[in-house]
This record gives sequence, C-alpha cells and structure tokens, in this order.
Amino acid sequence: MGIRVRLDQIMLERGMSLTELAKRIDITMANLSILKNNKAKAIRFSTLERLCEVLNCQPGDILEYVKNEDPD
Amino acid sequence: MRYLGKKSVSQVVSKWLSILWYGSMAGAALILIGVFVANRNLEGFGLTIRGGLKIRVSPEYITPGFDYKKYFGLLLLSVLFMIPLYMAAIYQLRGLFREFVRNRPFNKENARRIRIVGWCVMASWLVDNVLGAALSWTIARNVQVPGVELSTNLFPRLTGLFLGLIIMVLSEVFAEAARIKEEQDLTI
Repeated sequence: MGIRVRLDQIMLERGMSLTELAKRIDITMANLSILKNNKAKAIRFSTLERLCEVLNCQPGDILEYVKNEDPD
Repeated sequence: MRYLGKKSVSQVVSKWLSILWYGSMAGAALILIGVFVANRNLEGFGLTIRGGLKIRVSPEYITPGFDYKKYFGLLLLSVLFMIPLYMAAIYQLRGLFREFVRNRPFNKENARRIRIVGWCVMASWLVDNVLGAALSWTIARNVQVPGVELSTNLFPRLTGLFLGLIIMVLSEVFAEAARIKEEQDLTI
C-alpha cells in the first residue's frame, strides 16, 4: 500500500466533518475526498501544513507508511 | 486565434471531420461499386499518376491477352485495404478532436487514438507501396505505347512511413503528458 493517509481517523478524533475541514484548509471537497480515500499521488507541503494547523497535529499523525504485503 | 475548446480551430476541424466521416462512407460505397461495375467492361483503362496526371490507355496499346482481372483484382484489393484504414483513421481523429473541443487534450484515450492513427498511416503506406508496385509492374509489362517508355521504380516512397513514425512518437508524447497530468490532478 505504501503511504496511507489517516485523515478519517484524525477527523473522527477531532470531531470534524469533511465539509468543515475542506472549508478551513481552503481546498475543494473533491480534492479532500481524494486525499481521504488514499487516491492522491502526492501532497503539497502547503496542504500538509494547513492540515496540521487546523487538525492540531504533526505530519506523522496524518501520514503512515504501510509495508506492502508479499503476495506469497 | 484559439486552438482548443469551443469556438476554436479544433471545433472547425471536428466539424470537417464529421462531414468527411459521413461523406467517406458514401464515397467508399461508390468507389467499391465503381471498381466492381464501371471498369468491368472497360476498353482500355485509365491511370492517375501521383500529382494528378491522368492517362487513358487505348486497347490497341495493351498486350493481347492481358488479364484485366488481375489488374482489377489488385485495384480492388488496394481499395479494400485502404478504405478501412482511412475510415479507422478518420474515426479516431473525430474522437480526438471532440476531446480537444472539450479542452481535454491529455488523457490516455487520446494517446491510444493517436497511436491507432499512426498504425493506420503506416499500414496504408505498406499497402500503397506493395500493391502500387504490383499495379505499376503489371501495367508496365502489358502496355506498349510507341515512343513512350514505361518502367517501374520499386524503391518505396518513405514519406508515409516517416509520417507514421512521427505520429507514433507523438502518441507516446501524449501518453507521457497524460501521465503527468494525472499526477498533477492527484496532487492535493
């Protein structure tokens, strides 16, 4: 899987909705959904910075490395 | 002048391609009927040389016993090969320009369309050269006009191949652009 975005967990912990987060970090709902559902190919430092600021957390709380499972 | 989107050059070309598409279907049917019917009982035959020079050969200059069937068979074969290639290329170009009008030039589908056009161009180059050489050779062997020397140059013209290769390279450029665009779209 590689890098996983744990946005849904943090949002749940902070009790923040997708709409509210999108509004506060000033990105579209569509883009935030891409990020939340691990469909994004990259994340800008500026986006990460705003997320950390609004969610009051560290980048490591949002991003997680998951080792690819061996198919054998 | 705008080249992409609505009210642009792409939209004009897209409309022309649509007219060409429907016109070609009618034209293809007419050509097939023409090759089958009109030339069947022809006395002598007509040739159009690249560049538009038309020559009509009277029966007295044709070798007695010349098998017209072979000539028309080759002609029919080249028409049967060329029409689908031509139609396929126009079909793909229509799709391509529709996407240009929608302002979506860089996607995987467009790269695939351009690649198909490239294959069509190269295949038609091959058919044109192989069957063209066979036709020229048949005519040169069976037509004797006093004072005129007919010979065939079997060295292939490379323009079509060169154009096809350029289009194939362009398709790879579009595929790469589509990949970059996708990555950019998915960078949040």
